[in-house]
Amino acid sequence: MTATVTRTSPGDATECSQILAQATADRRTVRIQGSGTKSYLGDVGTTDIELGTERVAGVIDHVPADLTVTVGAGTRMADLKVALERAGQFLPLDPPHADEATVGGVIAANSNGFWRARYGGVRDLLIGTRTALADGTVARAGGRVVKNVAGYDLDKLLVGSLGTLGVIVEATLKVLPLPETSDGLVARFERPDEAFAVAHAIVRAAARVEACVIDRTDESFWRVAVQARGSGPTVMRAISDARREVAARHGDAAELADVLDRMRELPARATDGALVKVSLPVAASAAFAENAARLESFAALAVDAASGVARVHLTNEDDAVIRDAEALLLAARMVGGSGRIERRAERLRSRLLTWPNRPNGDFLMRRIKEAFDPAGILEPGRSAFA
Amino acid sequence: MHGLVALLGPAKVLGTHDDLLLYEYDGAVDTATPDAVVLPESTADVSALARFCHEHAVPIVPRGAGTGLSGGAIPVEGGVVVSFARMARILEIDVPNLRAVVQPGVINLHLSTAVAPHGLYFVPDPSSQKACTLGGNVAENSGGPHTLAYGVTTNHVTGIEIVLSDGTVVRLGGKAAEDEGYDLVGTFVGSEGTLGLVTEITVKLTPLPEDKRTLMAAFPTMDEASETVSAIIAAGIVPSAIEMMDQLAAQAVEAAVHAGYPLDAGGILLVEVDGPRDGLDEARARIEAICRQHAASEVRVATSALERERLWAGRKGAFAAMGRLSPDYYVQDGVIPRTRLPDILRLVKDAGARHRLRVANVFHAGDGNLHPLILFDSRLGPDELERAKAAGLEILTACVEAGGSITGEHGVGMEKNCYMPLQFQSSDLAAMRRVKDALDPPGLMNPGKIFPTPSRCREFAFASTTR
Amino acid sequence: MTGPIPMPYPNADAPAQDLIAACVHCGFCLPTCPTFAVLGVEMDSPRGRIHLMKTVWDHRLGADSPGLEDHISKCLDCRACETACPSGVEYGKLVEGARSQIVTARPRSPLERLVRVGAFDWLLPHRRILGAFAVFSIAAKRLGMGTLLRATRLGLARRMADLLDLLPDRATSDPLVAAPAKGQRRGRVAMLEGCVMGSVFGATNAATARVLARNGVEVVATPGQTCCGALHAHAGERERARELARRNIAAFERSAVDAVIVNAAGCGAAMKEYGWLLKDDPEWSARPSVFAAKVRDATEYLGDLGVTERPGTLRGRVTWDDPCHLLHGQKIRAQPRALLAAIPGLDIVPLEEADWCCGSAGTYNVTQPDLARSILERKVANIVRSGADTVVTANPGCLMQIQSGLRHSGSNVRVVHLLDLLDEAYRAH
Repeated sequence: MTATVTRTSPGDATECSQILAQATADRRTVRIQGSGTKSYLGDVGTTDIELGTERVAGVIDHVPADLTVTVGAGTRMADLKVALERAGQFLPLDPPHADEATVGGVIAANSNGFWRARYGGVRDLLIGTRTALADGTVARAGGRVVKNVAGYDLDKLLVGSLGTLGVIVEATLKVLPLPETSDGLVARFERPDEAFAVAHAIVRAAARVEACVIDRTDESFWRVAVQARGSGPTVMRAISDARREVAARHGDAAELADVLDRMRELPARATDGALVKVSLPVAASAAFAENAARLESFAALAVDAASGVARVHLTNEDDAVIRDAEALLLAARMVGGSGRIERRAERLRSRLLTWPNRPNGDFLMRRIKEAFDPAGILEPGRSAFA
Repeated sequence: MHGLVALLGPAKVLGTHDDLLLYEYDGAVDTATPDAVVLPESTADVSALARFCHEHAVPIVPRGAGTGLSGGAIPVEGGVVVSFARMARILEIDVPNLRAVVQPGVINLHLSTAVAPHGLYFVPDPSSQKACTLGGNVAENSGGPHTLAYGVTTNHVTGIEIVLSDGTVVRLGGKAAEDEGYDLVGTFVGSEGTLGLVTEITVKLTPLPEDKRTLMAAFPTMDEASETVSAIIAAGIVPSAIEMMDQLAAQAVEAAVHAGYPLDAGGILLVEVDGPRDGLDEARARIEAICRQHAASEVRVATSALERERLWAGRKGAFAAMGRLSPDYYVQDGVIPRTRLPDILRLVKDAGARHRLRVANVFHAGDGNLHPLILFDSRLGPDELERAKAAGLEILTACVEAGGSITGEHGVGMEKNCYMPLQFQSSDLAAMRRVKDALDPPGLMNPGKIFPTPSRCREFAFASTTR
Repeated sequence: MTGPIPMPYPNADAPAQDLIAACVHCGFCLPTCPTFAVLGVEMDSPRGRIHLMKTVWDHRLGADSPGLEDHISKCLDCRACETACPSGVEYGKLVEGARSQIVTARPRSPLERLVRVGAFDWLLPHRRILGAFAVFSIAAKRLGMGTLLRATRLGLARRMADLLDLLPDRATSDPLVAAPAKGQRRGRVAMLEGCVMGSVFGATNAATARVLARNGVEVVATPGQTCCGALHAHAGERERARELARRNIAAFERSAVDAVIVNAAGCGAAMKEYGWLLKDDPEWSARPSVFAAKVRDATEYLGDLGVTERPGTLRGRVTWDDPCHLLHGQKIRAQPRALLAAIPGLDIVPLEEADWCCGSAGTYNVTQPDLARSILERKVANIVRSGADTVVTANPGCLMQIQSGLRHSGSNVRVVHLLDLLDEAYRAH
């Protein structure tokens, strides 16, 4: 074994699997990298090999009338966006770091934005994968058709697996026609219960919005950002209904501008302190957010009103950040949710673990990990169940 | 048998010859008689049963309402059939969180009926929704006509409680959208009872659409109907459902439910758009125009809820209505990219003709999910089913070659496990096998399903297709 | 299983194979079956019972097997499964066929034979004897015989007590008199007087004739008619049922009428199937079918004809309960609801599971007391929940069953035949 990190970028699935087989034989650890936008995830240290996916990139197949696209995992989301727009379509996923992030990375990290309410998340849009496994084989799961129940849904296992089961080399996703028009608003409220009541009414309204997010920064008000896209009449209806909800609770509405984008990129900005990500039953999110905002080290938060996924940024003295972060994770568990320390300052790494608690069914996850990567070479330290 | 009675009491165990005969079938064509049937009333019963079977190395086969179409509930390798008919309670309707917690024996439609007063429903609506159970839906990852816009079962399940083959009870996921670690909920959904027994399910509830528009369009041939489907999608419209039916299917349906389908049309489309009232009529008008551009001889828009229900009743009762044309049918469930519809439908027709069998088509055209119903009469001899299966195999082979799948919503079961190598290479199947071995090490959960078995699949030595 | 070849079906009344073949075992019937709802096992579902019948044809089960008898006799024959079935399986014909085979194939105890002869040969076909029996039974009930019978702790005695329980407090056996049409004559009909209707609900027969006459329908007397044979057919006594059918056909053929009106849903359903009952009788050839085509339920006939005279106003909150053999057996749904809606002043509330059996089902109360009770309790709970003060139906079995169930639950909701309620409304003018 050598101490130097080997950087390698295979050109196809077979090459990729050969590298993994060799690494397994040599017991050398592997870290998989797309654009490296989310390398802060997990408790992974240095590995022997860094496997880049930049050469397995590009659109492999796109039949617009089938509403599916197959791409190499190293394809950057931004490039895919351009390719799809040429055919009048889009991939309905709006993850953070979208300029740089790759499709494979978005899948492995289960990186969702705020469009989940309308279109579903990564797990709902991914319909097929090709994955290089640690034993040197390539396994295909799912397919290129939107409905498929042949065999186990290994795609689901890969979403959020953070590279611990194999290297995704190819993915097929559902796409949609580009919406005709778009509109939005942002409203300010004094009290969190008002903001959440408005947001929850908006996401359940007849005309479904594309995104509805509540946030709070160090300023003293709560904001609700709403975006609707689709055909003219539905967008008009969605926004006018939203305005009515806002007015009914005395909120004050303004132009959306780039507010949603800023909310979405909270993980990118949270380089200091700690960023806690939790997934909550939606009805529990208002109280959670209100309590989070009272914490000593509170800096900012953003809550997806539809999915109950919330991020809280904490900055302060290290001890306060650690105490508050752990309190938030505990609070999430107590209401039936779960969470992780998504990002933290480098100096907090040893003191603040990504997953202080193991998820339910961790023993099953360990068995699956062992079945796919018996030597444990893939992404050591990136498992919630280790 | 005696051990089971001692463990669970006589009221929860069936074992007489006469009784066991009644658990040898489901909604499909294959049969096998179990050694015992257990009717658990709680997770504790299921766990005790699993421990017992683990100790005695007895296979366990879960059964919901027995409406499945791939032989999933058939005890092909013997053992105990676990019927969830008595675990059929809705445990919680959580309106603020848009979730319901149910036992696996709850009937799909009963859940939607129960939550309707709150303006909510459970989206997946398989045609058997009046009878099929949510446990069965989870096992098969069931779809239905309205999955085109809103997804299948896996997109609507956030939590499950499972009993593993050694009797361990594990709760996975919950009411939140995500959980940490691997998505085991997503792995269990669609695993056809081969990984464990699902004893509780947390599902998403969705606000009912404000309104709907339902159109029935009749075309001279299936070609025009198929082209219309692609044209609607190409126009940027994503209807909540696009269903297609051929003349033979329409005739059977008309005899059964009088849905008002024209009997002289070569192909019929049922298209539904839903959502906010605003824009619905515009979408309806655009769809109508596209239908007319593709030579539709008739476009009828349902003007009342009753009329819409009638149009849908025809579609939903279509499979069972085949009993009016033929005593037996063998239904296939292949999926293709929807742009390949015209070619494949022609091929389906040819396959039927080659094997001297009538084939009716009624399917989810928007998803490219075919349902050729191959009609046969088992009373005329075993050759009938053989020919039906041969025709089915030809159709599935063509689906895979077109870039599709051998099953879109019915599951692999014991009906298509020998066909899995058509779609998957050995390395793909090996990866699935790893999951199976990790979660059910003794291999007692619904054996003989999904994976090809040497004993039953000897005659199917497919050359791996190249992709 | 090895051993002797199982006993095949003994005769031509066996459940027909081509009817069985129509079942594609899709399972759509399961959630509509009251016994499946209670027991949750495949054997007590329509699909399971059909499969049992099939296994006898396949020589895998004997026509004399205890399992077959057990599960076939647990069937209510409510035929809700027929309404649910997309394949159009004629389940009623199948289950009656199976019962006829079991009766022949399974040895009966001397006591059961005696009860069958008593009920089917002496009582039901003989109005006077049945009437006297009803009067005697009601008197016995009033004297507290039920408590006494139950105290004996004998199975048969307890069942007799259950039967007494069902009886109304008063029987009317007024003979049906011919009634001329009022106003312009719109039809000329004969009426089935019926065994139970005639001896216990004579007043309802009279009311039916009055309501018909009010609406321009002449009711003519039909001497020589007898019990319709429905109960016989349900119990597998097809030969006895055929004998009664022939007598009825002959009697009604003598009166030249537009329709034969029946106000007991169970009787009407059976009479509409006389063609099937006598299909193997070459001497009668088309006569049964020609007759059956004239049979109309009173609500069906009047509903289709439409009321000419507006009924008087009644007050109250009422709900409609579909008799199984009206809704599922005869597919009559709209007409009785329309007739109820024609009575001014009524607040009509919906009844959940109005299309579910009440558990009466002929002699079910006597043969399956526990199941009948569970099914009845479900019906009573739904009626109470509906908030109605009156539940309206159209079959004597249902009237007695629901009344008894309500009485036991301490409810004072009234149960009334639709034709009695219409008659009441006309008298309220």
